[in-house]
Amino acid sequence: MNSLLALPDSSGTFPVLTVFGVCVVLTLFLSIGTILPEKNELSGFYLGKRQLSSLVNGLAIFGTILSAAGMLGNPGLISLTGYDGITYVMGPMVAWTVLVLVIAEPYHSTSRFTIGDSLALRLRARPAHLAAGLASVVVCLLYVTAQLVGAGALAASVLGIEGDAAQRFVVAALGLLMVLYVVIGGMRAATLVQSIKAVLLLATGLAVVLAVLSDFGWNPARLLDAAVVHSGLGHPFLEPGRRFHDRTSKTDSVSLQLAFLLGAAAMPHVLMRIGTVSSGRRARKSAAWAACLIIAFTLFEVVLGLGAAALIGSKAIEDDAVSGNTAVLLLAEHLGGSVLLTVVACVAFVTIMAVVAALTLTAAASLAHDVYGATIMRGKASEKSELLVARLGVGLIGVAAIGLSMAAQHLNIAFLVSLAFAIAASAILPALLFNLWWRGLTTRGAVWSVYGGLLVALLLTALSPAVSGNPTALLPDADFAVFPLRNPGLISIPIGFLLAWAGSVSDRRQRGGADYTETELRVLTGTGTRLRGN
Amino acid sequence: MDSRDLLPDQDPPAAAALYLSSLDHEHHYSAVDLWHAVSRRQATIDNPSALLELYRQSVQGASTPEEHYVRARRRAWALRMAGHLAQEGRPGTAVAAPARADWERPVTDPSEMSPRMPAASPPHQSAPESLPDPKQALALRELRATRRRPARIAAAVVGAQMAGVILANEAPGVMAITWTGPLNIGLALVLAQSAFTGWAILWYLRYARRSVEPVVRRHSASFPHLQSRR
Repeated sequence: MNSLLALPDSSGTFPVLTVFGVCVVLTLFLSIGTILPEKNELSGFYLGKRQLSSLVNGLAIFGTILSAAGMLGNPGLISLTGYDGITYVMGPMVAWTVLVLVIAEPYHSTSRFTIGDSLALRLRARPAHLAAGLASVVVCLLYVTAQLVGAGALAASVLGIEGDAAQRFVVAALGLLMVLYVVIGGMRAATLVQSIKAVLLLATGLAVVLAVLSDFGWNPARLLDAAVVHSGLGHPFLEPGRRFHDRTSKTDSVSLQLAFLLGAAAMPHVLMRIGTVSSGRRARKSAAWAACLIIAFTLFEVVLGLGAAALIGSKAIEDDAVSGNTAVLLLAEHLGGSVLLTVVACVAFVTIMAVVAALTLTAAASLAHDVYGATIMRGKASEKSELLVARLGVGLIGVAAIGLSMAAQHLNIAFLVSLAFAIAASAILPALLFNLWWRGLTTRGAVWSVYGGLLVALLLTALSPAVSGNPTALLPDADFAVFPLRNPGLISIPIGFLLAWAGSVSDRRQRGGADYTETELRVLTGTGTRLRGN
Repeated sequence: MDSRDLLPDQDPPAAAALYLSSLDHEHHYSAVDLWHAVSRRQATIDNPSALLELYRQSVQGASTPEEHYVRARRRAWALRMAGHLAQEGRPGTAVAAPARADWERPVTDPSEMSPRMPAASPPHQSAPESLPDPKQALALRELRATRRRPARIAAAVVGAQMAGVILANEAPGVMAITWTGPLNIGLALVLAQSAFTGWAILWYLRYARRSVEPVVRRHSASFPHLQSRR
């Protein structure tokens, strides 16, 4: 990535660095004070005190999912590809309908901590926990690696830090700080960072959006006209076909859209956050709050992207960074000088760190609760030992992700995010949906679907042009790309659902499905949560 | 409004038993299945008048228009099926059941009801979730009915988005048609999709508050082992 032209001299760099440092220290100082009196309690570590109001949890959910890709990447993509970029960012937003209408409340009432808990309510405990735990860990690890690589790139461009070693130091320092913070404070610490980040992000986004609109006399039509003119493309900028033009890329766009639409409804870190409120009704309301915030912010992203195209010009954006990831930063500098740029950059870092906190905590919960507690110890682990494993797990996942992100620093890992969503949609969603709503699901169906969806998604991605066969691939020198699509969703998601069905109907141990009575009652009434072992 | 709505006491007991059974009124069942359901429901209630009383309470007890609609549809289905059973006569061998005339005739005096029948159907023939308590079966029926619309709307929102993407791929020319000012059809559809998504979320909040929660509250006593955390 090119260094940012927005910071031409060192006098501009210093305030950014200083303000950024002060911002990080202040956030942590503030938060450590509030999280320290944390009792050594498993539920407290995984879910916090469960006394959050719907609005705060909605904010925290928003803070959990909105990543740097959403804040910087999406507007950048829109500024470069116009209409195609806009439909791309719509997918995760639309997914919230599924999450709110059919998943949030039933999931809350069937799960204690993890997705594995929800499955194990009616399926055989060990295989269900193990499968759900492994899939969650894979999704979180892929996603957190992408976030940390993004943090490194951001450090390079915003803080003006040149050189691999310095960038690695920034990523490692930020990552370890976050990990330490979550190890100490668990979910309550994560909630705090996520809520602060959500407020900052919304406020900053709104400020920049208002600045853009005021620049065009509060007339969206003038903004659209200017974007068309300065995109250098003319009217095709706001028409389909800029990004997806031939048959393969069009099929790819459907695949990508499907992965985001369905995957966003089954991301483990979002589901874990839904468990942090005390009742089904609050789970529903907080998910609805989050959905409304997401819709608002998606519209912000569209305005930011079009604003960047209109005020900076697509050519200048592409010259600064081919991916368009710096478009929002350029726009902020154009509108508010280095002050606004500094604010946006700090918010971007806080954004990344909040997502990293959520992902490491979720992955650690899956490791400790599903893999260690329920599978290895067969549910007989003491709370104390599971808590210890969970804390170690946060450290382990964090360090692994930092290591992976360093290894991937110069590789093109843009596909990791969409792969994480594709895995969530093919491996987690079928089992989750069928478990909540289909009487016929059996243990075998769930296990087949989780492992099958996971393996097919990973295998197809390994054989895709994202990994090999062209100059922009992960391994540009190799060529074993026999699968034409960059995102496996179009194939792997139907396979995931098909396996869940096929495994269930062929399961002779649980003919007609695993006992659905208890799960159905909880799903339908939204009550009866956390009755067991709590 | 149908005059029958006001007088569930006049409905045949077979309809009451079907109404209170665990069968799904949106599905199609064979006559044998229906007879099984009727006799099972009869078997679970000692006093036939209790069945009719429960039926009457449920039919008349709807507190929202949605509930009323669901129950009216279920009642219409039960009456229709009971009518079919009366016309066809019952299949001879499967289970012991009262004479046809008993089922057809509106019962005004509980003493006229046939005595309790043995639950003759073997376990593998019973519905997968045959709960012993008719109150629970009825509660489940109504609760399930409240979940259909959210599922359909979620599917519609997702389907609309996928349709938009496919349309943009297959007919980019259509999406490029200017609608008004710089706004083309494609962008207008994007705005419509955002509004649709937002509407679905807000609709669901209202629906859950007005149509799901009252049903859950009313039936929470049927499931004493579930502890309400609301």
